[in-house]
Amino acid sequence: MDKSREIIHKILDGETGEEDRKFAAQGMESDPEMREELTGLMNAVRMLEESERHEPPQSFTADVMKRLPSAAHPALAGFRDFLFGSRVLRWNMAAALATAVLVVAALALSMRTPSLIPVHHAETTKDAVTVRLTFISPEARSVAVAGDFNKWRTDAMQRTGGMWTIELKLKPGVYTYSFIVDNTTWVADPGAGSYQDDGFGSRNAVMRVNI
Amino acid sequence: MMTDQHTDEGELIRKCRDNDADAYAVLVDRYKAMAYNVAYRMTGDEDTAKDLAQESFISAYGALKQFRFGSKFSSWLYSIVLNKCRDFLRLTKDTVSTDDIAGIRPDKGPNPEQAASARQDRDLLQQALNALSGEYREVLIMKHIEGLDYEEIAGITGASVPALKVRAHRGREMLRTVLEQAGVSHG
Repeated sequence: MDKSREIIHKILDGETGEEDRKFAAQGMESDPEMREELTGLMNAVRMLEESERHEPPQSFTADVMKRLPSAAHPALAGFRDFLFGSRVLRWNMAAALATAVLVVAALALSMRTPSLIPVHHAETTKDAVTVRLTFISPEARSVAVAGDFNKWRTDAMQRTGGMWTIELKLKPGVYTYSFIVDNTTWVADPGAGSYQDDGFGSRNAVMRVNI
Repeated sequence: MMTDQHTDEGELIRKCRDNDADAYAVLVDRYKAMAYNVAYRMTGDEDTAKDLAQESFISAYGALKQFRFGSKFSSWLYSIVLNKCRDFLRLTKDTVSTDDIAGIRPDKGPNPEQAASARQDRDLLQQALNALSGEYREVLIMKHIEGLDYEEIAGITGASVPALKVRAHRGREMLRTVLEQAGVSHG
């Protein structure tokens, strides 16, 4: 009966081969217990598969949108719109002339006084640290990395034997990331010093970059 | 190969990350039925399902920065909905005894009113699901109601494919027993 039960569940999982189907058909003919079991299980599965889909209420989407953090702070949204929103400016000739005079004066002043805003040229490379990530997986066909630093897009890692590496230029900070093996499996860096739960059953590696 | 829907979805998610609420409304509209139906089947209560599904979308919005491009938004959302449902069930320990279900339909004989019987069977199905513990309920819903394959369910739940098959196997046996005790006939 154990083999019969195994085959019954393979049928319900849609994983049976020709031999299994023959065995099940013969069993159904000759074994009333198997017939009873298969019929009962198929009935239960059919009820699940044909079950009615319950629809959410009409206001579902609107209710969600009302409860989103940005919608909960209309003042902040207003401030953001003020800073970044598009607007139409109305000019008259007097205002335009006054503005032009101010702009010309500001330009002339800026050419005579040293800039107060620090400009980094060569220093910018000093602000970033080159970090090399390594991952050992001889059997992998491809390995990529995704994290805060590349907005969770995937950057391919280079293979050297069984070792995969990538060099990243990062500013000081704390970054979470994961490796993606063969485009399918996400693996938190086993060499990371700490990890962070992503809240959905997986975890990401955490890296702290200091100058 | 990326499908049009995936490309479109990736673009929507990027817009959401840039605080474009309209783009998120499109995603909510697209997946609300899926999230609500799973939450309903897990909890058996319409109001609870609505709350859990809405909370799932709100959590997802807050966590969009952690969404991994290349994976399916629907799979990610499934995992959030299931986590909400698990938390809810853990707090309420929501199972009913099989005796309660058997008592739903005292008359086990043939029912001449077929339509009424079908309706009753639907209610029985939900109550039979409620009688199973969460881990069995979850795999039956994902496999046989949502129609996902074991690999995708493994990605959503974090369980291995062999473990999921064992759960589905046991869950179906339990469901069959509960339904038969409640007098649901074969065929």
